[in-house]
Amino acid sequence: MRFIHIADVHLDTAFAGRSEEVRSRLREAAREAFARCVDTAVSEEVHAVLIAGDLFDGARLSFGSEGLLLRQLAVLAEAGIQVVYTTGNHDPGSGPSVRDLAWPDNVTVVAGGEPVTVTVANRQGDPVGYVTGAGHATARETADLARGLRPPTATRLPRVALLHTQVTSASGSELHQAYAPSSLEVLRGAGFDYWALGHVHQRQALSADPPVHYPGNLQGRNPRETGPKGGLLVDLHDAEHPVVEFREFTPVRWERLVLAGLENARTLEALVERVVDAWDEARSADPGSDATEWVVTVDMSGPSPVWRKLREREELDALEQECADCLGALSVRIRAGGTHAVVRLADHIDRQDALGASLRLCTRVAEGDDRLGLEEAAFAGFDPERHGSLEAYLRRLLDGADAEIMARMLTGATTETGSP
Amino acid sequence: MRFESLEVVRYGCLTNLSTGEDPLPNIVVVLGPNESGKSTLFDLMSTLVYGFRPASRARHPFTPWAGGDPEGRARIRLDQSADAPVIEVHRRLRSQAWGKLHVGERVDDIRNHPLPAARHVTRVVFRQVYALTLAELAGLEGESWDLVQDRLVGAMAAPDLHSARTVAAGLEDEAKRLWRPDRRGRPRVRVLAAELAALNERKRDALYRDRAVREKVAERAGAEAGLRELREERSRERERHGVIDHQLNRLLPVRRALARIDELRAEAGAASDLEALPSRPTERLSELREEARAGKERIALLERRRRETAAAGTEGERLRARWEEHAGALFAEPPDDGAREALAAVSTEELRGRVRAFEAAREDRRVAEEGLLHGADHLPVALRPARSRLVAGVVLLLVGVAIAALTLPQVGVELPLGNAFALRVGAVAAIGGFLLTILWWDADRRARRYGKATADARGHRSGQVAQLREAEETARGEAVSLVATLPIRDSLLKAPDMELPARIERMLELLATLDERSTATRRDLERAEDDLAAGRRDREAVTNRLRDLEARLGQLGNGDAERGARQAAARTEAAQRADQIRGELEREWPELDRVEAEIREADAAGTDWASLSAALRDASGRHDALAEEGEELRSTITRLDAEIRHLQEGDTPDRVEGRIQAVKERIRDAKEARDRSFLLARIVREADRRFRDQHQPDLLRRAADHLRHITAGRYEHIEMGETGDESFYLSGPAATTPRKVGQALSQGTREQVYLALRLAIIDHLDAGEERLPLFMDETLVNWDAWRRDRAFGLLERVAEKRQVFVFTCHPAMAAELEDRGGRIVALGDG
Repeated sequence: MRFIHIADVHLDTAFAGRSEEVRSRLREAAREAFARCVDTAVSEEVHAVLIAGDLFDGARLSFGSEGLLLRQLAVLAEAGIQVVYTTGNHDPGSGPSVRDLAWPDNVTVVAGGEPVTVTVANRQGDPVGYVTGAGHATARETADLARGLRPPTATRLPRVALLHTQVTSASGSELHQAYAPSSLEVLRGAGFDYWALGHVHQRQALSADPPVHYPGNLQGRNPRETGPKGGLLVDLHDAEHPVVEFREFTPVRWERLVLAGLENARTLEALVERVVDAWDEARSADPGSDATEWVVTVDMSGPSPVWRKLREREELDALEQECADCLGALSVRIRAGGTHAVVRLADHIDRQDALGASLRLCTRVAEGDDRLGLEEAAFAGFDPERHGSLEAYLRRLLDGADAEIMARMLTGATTETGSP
Repeated sequence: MRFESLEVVRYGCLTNLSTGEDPLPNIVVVLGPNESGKSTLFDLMSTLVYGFRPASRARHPFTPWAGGDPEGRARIRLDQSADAPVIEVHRRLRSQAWGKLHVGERVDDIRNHPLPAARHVTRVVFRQVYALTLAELAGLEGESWDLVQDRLVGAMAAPDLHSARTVAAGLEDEAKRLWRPDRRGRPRVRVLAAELAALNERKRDALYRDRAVREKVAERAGAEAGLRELREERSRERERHGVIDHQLNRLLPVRRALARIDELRAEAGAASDLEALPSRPTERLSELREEARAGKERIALLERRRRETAAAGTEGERLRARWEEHAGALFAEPPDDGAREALAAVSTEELRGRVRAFEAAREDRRVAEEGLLHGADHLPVALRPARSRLVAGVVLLLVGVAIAALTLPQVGVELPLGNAFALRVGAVAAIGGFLLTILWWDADRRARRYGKATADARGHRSGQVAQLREAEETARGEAVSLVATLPIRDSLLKAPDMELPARIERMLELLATLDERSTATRRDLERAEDDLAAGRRDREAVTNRLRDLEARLGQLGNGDAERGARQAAARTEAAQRADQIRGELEREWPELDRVEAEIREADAAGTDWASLSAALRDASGRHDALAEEGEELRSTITRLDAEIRHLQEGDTPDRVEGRIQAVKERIRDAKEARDRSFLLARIVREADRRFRDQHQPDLLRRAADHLRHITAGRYEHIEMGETGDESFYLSGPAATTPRKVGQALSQGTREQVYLALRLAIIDHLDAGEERLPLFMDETLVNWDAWRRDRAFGLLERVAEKRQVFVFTCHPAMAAELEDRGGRIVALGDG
């Protein structure tokens, strides 16, 4: 049995960027990635395409995405390729798109928690394997659906489990809600020849025997989701030696560059050079493909002689555009909130004045040693679900606050002034 | 902490400068003009205490002008260290900062670290707070005292700090601009929330349009399907229409023609009945009858012509009689056939020649005989003597003269036509008579001469006459010989003349005419007989044919040939019409057999030929209706396309959702930025409050102590206002009621208050710790003598606890301080 395993396509993701152009491109990129997946499935003559949930980002597909999806599924149907799709938390079975879409005959949608086993056949109609899957009926599936999956017995054909689940030991799982959580032990003990998982966006193999794989999402959705994205081409003809190959489908990749130690970059031009250096270094390690388009996030932090300019929207826009031009990137976004004046905390924290007192108090508040009566204060952005405790939120707010306090209270960028 | 000695090896513009071995006193006056190195010296002292900053030789602002590494050393006495009161520090900036601290016998490698004894005051505070400048005091004028007070109390006089309260207020303003817990103003979050609401509205609209697009697309798909069905039905209808049209406009005419042919052929009956009949029997019957009648007339005509031909033979007889009459006159006996042949053989031309020769010979003989008989009488007229004419000429001459004479007046005669005219007539007659007389006289003379000559020749002529007679006879014989075979009357041969050949020719002509006429008459008669016989035969044939035709037509017409002829004509015409129609069909339809087969098939299929037109109209109507329906559907599709395009022109839900997410992110960012600003404001304000609470009482106490000294007891207290009023108030003998510093005090007093506070801050900062030196840079240069004296007194008091360095370019001030125990360190020309 030969198939492509993808997950977390997230069609119609509402990318949250400043630029409408970039958002549109990213939305289009997800569609292109899916089309590339279909092209690969056809060219590789696979028997099936397995989609482990979150095919859509929202409950309802846009008209354009719906059209693309149906066209691509029709391409697969024409090529005689079956599609097995189990729903996830973003596209639960109760959602209108899953429910109302005119799915082609070659598509089996598993929209509920009840396990469904699909016989995968070759072009001649002979069975080549089985896919057993369960879907999320609702957007907040909490049951361990993996426990309900049982492989067909009395067959020597490959048996594949398809599920949108959060394996708690998976890397990066903390970034996702624990929907349909399961454990690797449960998966290993189930008796399947391959676990095709979805939900965690970071591509990874949780186990080699049996193979348990997250293919990652098809298109990075945010600056954290860097690296090539795509699906897995799986060949289970030899059950003893399954072949799992990653195939990149995404046309647009995210890249995150972290720049610190910017004291010597005294101009914005010098900052651009630093960005280019960091980019070159990243590309020497991971060149990507010639056709890859890049959406780059640059996180700048620490003391910078131009920190004030980095606070000005116009300067930052110009810098971002310059960097995008230099890198040939679709977009460059610079997050420079962590930069501050070239001052050393050690130079000021012991001062016997309001600055020293503020810095020391800031440290105490950040460490939870002084509450300042903030429990009673109204915080506009505090979201317990997102931030956890208020203390955690305050720590987040106070990240780099000492530098900002210094920047605000000191009259110059440095303290190297004095007299006579 | 007191600097006992200073040695500048190399530092900026200073080189090899040393204060000597004698320990520096509590007050050190650094005297030098501007640009002599006072700031350089201050920087070296702070460097010796805190290390090089920046620790880079390349970037260090006081790289020695003379080259080499910045380097200096100092011996320092520590007030608070009992075990090692004197330390020596030596610093040098090589590629890295180098530093040694000698503590007794011990040498510590301090590299670029601050001296341990100075760690209670940061380098920044030392450089900013422990250095008091003229600019600070000069800047008090015009500056809000609240700010000064803030800087003094909150920032401990550090000039590099903004007021904590200002900073906090700025942060709070920023926070409010971003978000407010109340509903006042239009903070950014509210603006974004409004934008979000608008976007949500747009999303609802986009969702509506998305649904509408789907509905329209579904409707369009339905219309497309309907159109496809319609096309198929139209195709069927078109096919049906084509079949009907083919049957109606192609097969039906053929079918009708074939039916007509059948009818005509039925009407024509058996072809054998008409086989022997002419194609147009009525006309033919009439023609035959006409021919019969014409034959009859023709026979009559021929008979008449025969009679006329026969009558033409009488003329021949008359001609024969004339010929016999002429023959009787010419011939002595009736000519037989031999004579006729001989006559035909006579050459009349030759005979005429010989007759003419005979007549000439006879004339010659007669003339000769007459000449011989008459002599001159036989002269030509012109040569005959003419005496009568001569007389006539003379008479005419005389008459003329007579007339002329009568006209003479003397005569006295009046002539009828006038005398003048008569004169002219008389003259003409006289002249004419004269001329004629002359001419005629000459002619008469010549005739007489000629007569004489001819008389001479007469004898000769008689001989010639005999010869001429012989010649005459010979000529006659020759002429007669030509007609010797003919029985011509002798009288005619005796003296043949030209009448003979004329008669012979006339005879020949008559004979030829007679022969010709006889032959023609015979031939005409034969022809007339032949024609008559032919006419009779023709008439008989026509009569036979007519009889035969009438008999056959009579059979067809039940005895009535006319009716039979009409029937035959009608039947023939029907047959011909049938053939004609068939021929036309075959020309028009090369594949007539196939067409007939189609007609047969259609007949077999029960085609209602009569209702084809109605069926065609029905098919056309249906076709048109379908076309109309199709047009409506196409119009619907076009409309739907336009509507779909229009609906798709707007935002799609996912695009709007992207913007919503972006706005939400901006709201989150704005809220977090607000919270951060709010939190920082809270921290700064609270830290400032706490700092003030902690340090202000001691600060004010120390400041009041200094103020009392500097004002010679006029002011004794500095106090805070009531709760909520953070202004400073002074009280003492000069102010029995507290006076707010910022308002009622003079500039001089404010400067004194400022100095007192600045010194109090320094005292406060290193209270209980090593007291760092105080630096004053021309601070008091503008004070009046009394106040400066009070200030110097205060400095003396301060110097008891901490070393004071006074930088000045004024020697007088230096001398004044020297008088108070200070020591002058001269820089440059100072």
